[in-house]
Amino acid sequence: MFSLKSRFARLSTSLVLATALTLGAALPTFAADSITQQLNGGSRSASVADLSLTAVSYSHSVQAQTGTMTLTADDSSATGAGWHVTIVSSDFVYSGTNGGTNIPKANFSITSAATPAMTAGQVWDATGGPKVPSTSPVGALDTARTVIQADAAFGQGTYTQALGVSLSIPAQSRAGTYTGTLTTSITAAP
Amino acid sequence: MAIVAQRGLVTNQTPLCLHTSAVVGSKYVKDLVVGMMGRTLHRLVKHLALGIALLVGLASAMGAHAEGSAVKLGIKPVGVTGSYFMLTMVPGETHGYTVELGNFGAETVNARTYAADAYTIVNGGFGAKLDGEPTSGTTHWLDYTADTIALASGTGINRTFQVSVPADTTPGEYITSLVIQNADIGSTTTTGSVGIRQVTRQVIAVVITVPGPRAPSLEIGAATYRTVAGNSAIAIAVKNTGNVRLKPAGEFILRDASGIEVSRYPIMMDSVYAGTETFVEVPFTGRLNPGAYTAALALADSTQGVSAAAHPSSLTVPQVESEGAIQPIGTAPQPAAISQAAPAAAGLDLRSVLIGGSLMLALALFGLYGYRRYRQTHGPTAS
Repeated sequence: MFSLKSRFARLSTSLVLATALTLGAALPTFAADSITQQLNGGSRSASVADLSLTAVSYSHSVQAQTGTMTLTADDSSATGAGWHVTIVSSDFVYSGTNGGTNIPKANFSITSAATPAMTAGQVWDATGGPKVPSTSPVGALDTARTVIQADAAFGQGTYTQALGVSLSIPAQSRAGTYTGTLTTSITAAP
Repeated sequence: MAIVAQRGLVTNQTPLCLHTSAVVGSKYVKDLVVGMMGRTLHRLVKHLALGIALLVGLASAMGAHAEGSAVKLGIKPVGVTGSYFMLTMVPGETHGYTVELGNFGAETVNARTYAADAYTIVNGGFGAKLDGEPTSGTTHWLDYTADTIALASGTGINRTFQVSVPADTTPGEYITSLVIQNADIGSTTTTGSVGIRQVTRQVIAVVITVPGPRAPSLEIGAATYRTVAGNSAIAIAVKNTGNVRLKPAGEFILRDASGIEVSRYPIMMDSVYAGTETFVEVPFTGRLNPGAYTAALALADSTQGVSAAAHPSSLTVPQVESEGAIQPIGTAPQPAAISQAAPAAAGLDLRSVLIGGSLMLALALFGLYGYRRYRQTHGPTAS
């Protein structure tokens, strides 16, 4: 009986020790208060995904191909310096066998920019952001446009933003594939 | 410019540290148990410790996987305060600086880094020219050569570069930028017959202030019209003619040909950098009726004590475009004005018209004279 109790006590002690060691490794900030923890910053990043456009067929007239895409912006820099994201497009280059021509970049435009939603980190703030710029970002993407921005001390997290887009297909465009390049920039600047 | 160091980044080291600590912990428990317990209990605890170690390792791996394979490159100044370079330098001065380039993503990335001209984007804000575009001005003050480097996951490098301010530089603010982006644009996301490729960039500003008198100044230019996605958009040129950056705000008013106000829109621009020009572009919720309009814009930056208001600028909204080609911003799609008089009809010049008209008038007068002489000679006929 004594032996069983002793073994049980030793097993419990070992389990407690193992748990303490594991938690100690996982939660270093709970360690002795004389330890200095260096916290290095990460990066800022922004990219668009989930672009969807309505399908169109050949037409003698101009057609608008509308859709949406989702911008994701993340600030893990741990600086609280603020940031903004711009998007700009290239021409949509034709590839195919029907001798088509490129669609100018001015034909691709942002038609709406939704209020950003937080997925992690600092809570969204109506004043500090991340927010849609005061002067609407709606317009053609032949020139870079800010679609979301965070003031200093805001936007330290991950945020998504739904963007409405439209591609104006010129009349009598030839069958084929039109490929454009979107450049998404997240910038720290005064 | 030189690569100073290559090292692991803390974000990726953290899971590794967790895993290592757990393994060390399990060995410690093993030694403890060997001394205290029998073989059965030893095996039980050993398996338990290994299980904990495996769980922690698995959790670390899952955490890394959850970050996904998105490109997460970073660029930041080293040895200076802030997220970008805010430098004060005198003409003729040269100074060395360091920037850290890092890959915070889960995969090795071919990273492209370069210095790019900075400019003011539409409605204000910092823009950096794209890779491969020509560089000029302040960008040439940096000896930061464009380069493509393979950055393994969780690693970073330091690059040093020099900034040299030309001796004849006048006081004011000067801007340029440093950029890192994915060098391999990657696969195309195709939706229907449209494909999209993506470049993701991280940009930091390099702002160099040359001490001296500050002279804020702002000018507003002409208005132009274009139709975008079926809706009207009016752009008005804005130029920072001073030597400090501004954040102008104000109001845009559109009136039709009869002077009736059609639209009023508040403007809050982001930074308009010294010596740059850009546009305020006002998008409308629909298409304006074809016809003549006047657009007025007034802007002010109360912090810098500067304001500007332009005389109403005339513009024409054309009939609905049919060709589908959208004009670039700042260009007027209406036909160019002609300042010469309308030409006469084909085959007739002004001299011929005058001679012919005089002859016809003379004939008419001669006929009238003859008719009156006839009436005077023969008198009215009695009934």
